[in-house]
Amino acid sequence: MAAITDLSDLINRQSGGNSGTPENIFFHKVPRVSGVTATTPVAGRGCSLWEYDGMPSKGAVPTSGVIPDRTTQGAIPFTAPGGGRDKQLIGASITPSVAGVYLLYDRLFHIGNLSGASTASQSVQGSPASPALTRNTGGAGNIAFYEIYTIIGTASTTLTMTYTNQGGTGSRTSTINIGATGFREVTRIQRIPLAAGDFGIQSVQSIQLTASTTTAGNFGITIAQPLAWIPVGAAGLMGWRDYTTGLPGIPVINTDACLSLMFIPANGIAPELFGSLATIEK
Amino acid sequence: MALTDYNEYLEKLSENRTADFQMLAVVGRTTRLSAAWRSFLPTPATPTTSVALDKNSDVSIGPIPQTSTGRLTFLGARLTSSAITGGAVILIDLLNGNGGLSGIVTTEQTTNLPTAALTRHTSGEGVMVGLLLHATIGATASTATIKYTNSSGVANRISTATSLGGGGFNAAGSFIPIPLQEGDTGVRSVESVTLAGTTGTAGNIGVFLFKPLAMSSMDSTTGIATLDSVSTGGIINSLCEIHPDACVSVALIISASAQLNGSIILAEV
Repeated sequence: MAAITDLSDLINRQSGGNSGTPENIFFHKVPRVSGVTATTPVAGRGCSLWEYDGMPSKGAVPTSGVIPDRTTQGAIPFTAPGGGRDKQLIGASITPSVAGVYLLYDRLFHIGNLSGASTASQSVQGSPASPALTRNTGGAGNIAFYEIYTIIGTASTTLTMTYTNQGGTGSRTSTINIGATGFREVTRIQRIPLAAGDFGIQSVQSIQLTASTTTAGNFGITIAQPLAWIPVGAAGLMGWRDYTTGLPGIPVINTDACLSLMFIPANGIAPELFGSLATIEK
Repeated sequence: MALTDYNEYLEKLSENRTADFQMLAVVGRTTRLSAAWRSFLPTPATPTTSVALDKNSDVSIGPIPQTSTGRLTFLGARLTSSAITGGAVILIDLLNGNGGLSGIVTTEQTTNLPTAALTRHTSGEGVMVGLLLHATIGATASTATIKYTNSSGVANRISTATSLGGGGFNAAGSFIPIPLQEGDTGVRSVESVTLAGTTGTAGNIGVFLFKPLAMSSMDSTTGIATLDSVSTGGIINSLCEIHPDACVSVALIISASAQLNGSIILAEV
């Protein structure tokens, strides 16, 4: 990544100079999925906005494993950078009707149609991985979470994920609970922790449930690269981040990134929100 | 054209070319979008037929500086509110707007539609649609859909149903963003509006197409925000380009009821 030289370089590019190509991207979401009131999220726990209606429109539920990109339905659209330049995220804002922490991420891989009733090993990308990641392929910083597309069962069980870590070591395993109230509802997501010492994921070979949750439903595994955390302290306030002066520095948005949002609500209320991203190229 | 460096930025800021807005009434809707322009002083006329809007429209803040061949650029804002509130002041380019639709009619409504042809952002890419409640509609919760032409020119697209009427979605001044049909990323025109059920009161509903320009943060502890593009933070999309004929206006999301006033600092660069 070519670094912004100084404040004058930033101002120049942000106002359209030196092929800075500033792009301001706006989005809104309403608490509905396909026109129907969204499932109430759980306070303090992860929830996906992938399926929320709005602009961009809802994302489709994946069936087989695929690599979504910026042209995938549901992705926040942006113009690919030109001239070998990087697309750099210099600011982000979200004003929601529900306080919480909102995360902008690149959806690197997703799959659906996994069963909450099967105790057999269920393939995700398999080994060797197919499809393999095409972005952030080294895996450092990538996270994985399960995502509920159709409600699963009321029995709590354990999900074991077998994956390849950021160092290319396969057959790593980690576990997380799934099923039962708070861990079964549509749009719920739950990040899957990694084995000790790991700090990223190159691929997920498979998942396996210890026992049935009692309902197959439909859930998926998503691999994501977090880009920007945007905390919002109260409903109706504008959470904003200036990455030219604040952590984690200026994130680069991959040319093909499938930008999407998740959130951890402070209250169990599905949010409506309006937000924006500010980018320049260098 | 672009700002060369920080010094030129400071020079442009010192020109202090502002466009102002003043509101007559408190925005009562909180945590969701409201149309500040409905309460501008002087009070804008309530439209009937859809009209293309520009910098001379009564819903535009002003005066928008005349430009020559340069780039009209948003440098900062000075915002105050009548109460200690926080929120987002969303600078938008209002492209067209109408009125006269009803909150009690459940058949497809085409009154004062289709929307006027776009004169800016004519492809419709990134153009959003909002339903503005010119007058309060009913307390019965319902949903609305619109039929529209998307930014690829495909007609007869149908938005997904979204809340209209009932608590939080019926007060005058509410500006209700419309979610699009799957796969769409913008709107070129709107042909009709359909309510799933009556809200109980006709009120007056308008259809507005708009292009967001920038978001500015109101400080929740003081209700005052003096923001510039470099030193203060709080503006996302600062230094954005504004079309010289843009109908620059203000949409709000606020945390508590308030009346806002302010100035937008602009420059030709």
